[in-house]
Amino acid sequence: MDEGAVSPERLGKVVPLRVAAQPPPPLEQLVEQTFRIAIGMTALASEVLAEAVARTLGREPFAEGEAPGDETARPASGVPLVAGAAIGVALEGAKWGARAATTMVRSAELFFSLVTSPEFVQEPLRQAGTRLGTLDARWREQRPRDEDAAAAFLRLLVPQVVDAALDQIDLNELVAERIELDRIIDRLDLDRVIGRLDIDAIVARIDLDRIIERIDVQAIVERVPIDEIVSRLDLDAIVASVDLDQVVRRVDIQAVADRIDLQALVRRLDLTAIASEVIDELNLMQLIQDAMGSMTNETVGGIRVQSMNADRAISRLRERLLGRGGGDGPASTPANAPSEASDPAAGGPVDPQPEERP
Amino acid sequence: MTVSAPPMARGMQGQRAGVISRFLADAIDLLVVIVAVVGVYFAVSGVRFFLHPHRFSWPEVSTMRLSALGWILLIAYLTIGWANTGRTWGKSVLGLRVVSSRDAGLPLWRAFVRAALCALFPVGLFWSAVSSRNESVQDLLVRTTVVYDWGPKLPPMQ
Repeated sequence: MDEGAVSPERLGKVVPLRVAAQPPPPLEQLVEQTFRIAIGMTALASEVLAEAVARTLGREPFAEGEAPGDETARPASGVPLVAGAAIGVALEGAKWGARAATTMVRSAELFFSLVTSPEFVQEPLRQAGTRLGTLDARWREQRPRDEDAAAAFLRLLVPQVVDAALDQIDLNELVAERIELDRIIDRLDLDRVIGRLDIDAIVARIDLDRIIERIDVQAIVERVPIDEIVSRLDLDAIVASVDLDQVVRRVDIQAVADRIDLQALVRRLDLTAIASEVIDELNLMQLIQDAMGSMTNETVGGIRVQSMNADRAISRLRERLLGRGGGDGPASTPANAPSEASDPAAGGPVDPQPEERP
Repeated sequence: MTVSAPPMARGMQGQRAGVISRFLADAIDLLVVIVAVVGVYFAVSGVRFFLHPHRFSWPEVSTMRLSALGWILLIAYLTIGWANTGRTWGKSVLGLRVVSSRDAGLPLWRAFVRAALCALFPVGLFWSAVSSRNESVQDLLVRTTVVYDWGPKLPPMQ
């Protein structure tokens, strides 16, 4: 494995910076880059310091509509102009200094190679190099343990530092200010995200009973405008579309009848009132009177007819005994027929108002 | 009592009633009077009970007195019935009516005389079995006739 690469098993730990073995940059370039970094860090530190000071005074560090970091938008003046010019001079000076230093180093190397070319000089240098190599090997041997110790220390230190830093930062505000969520959402492939989700597993972890218990169904129902919904429904059309015959055929009438508690239903009925109402409607007394009257009339009619027949039989017997000939005799003679006595008062015409008879 | 008459009976309406019909009607009237006598007896007993409940005892009435009471009730009952409608309850059941020879009604005095004669000499009824005009002794004396009349309407009161 490459010395500078990061091993996967060490992910999550604090890993010291490894730099791949590359040829060192020229000294001039190295110095210029060092100066640039130093100047940039100084500028950033100054900016952050000024912003922090402004915030402690309760003022916004930037004017309305002015974004930080756009100093190039308008030309500087006053102190910033002088400061910028000083930085530019320093940068140029650093460049010239670096070139001078490079020239001096090269001259020194030439001089050093001339000085160290004799054999009596080479031997002490070689011994010194050997000694230094031994020390370097010893350091390289100790290096993993030193790095582990440093990593352990950083593992304890970094969380503390991060916690302290996060305590000073309002992450919500930071996200709101620095992150454009719309751009992130536009770049998200939600279909892929949803495709990766195991919906069944998510649903299985949801305790629906607890959710339902927390729902105030009564409040939800009260918020529903039922009257408005019902007024919009065309109930006639709905009912017309229902095949009632098919519905009735599916109904198990026997099962429905078995589930009905007829005893309870009967107990709830006011049978006395119902009976009274029915009797009133039927006029039961009139019915009974009519029935009894009919029976009595038939009986009385029978008695009357039988007695009439008996009267006629007695009359015939009497006529036969008295030798007056057959026939129904006087009993069948109307009471208003001429009587044996010529005197009407002795049994003359008697008319018991026949027109009133049925 | 309104009874629709069959065709045979319809032809007999207004004719003189025979002895069987009249006997049955009089038997019913006699039964009514007997019930009335018993009712009077119990009414008197009830009054005595309310007046003297602790000393109550059934009244002892002789047969003579009961007979006299029955005779009086019978006369009153027959008189009222014949004078008003020409029929008592017994004659109403048998579909008979007592009419005078001259008109449909029967005056009160004639009704009373006929009732008294019937109460004194009830056997006189059976002369109607012999009489060719079905007349009893009382009919001959008071000049009345008993006819079949099932009609509901009554003659005017006298």
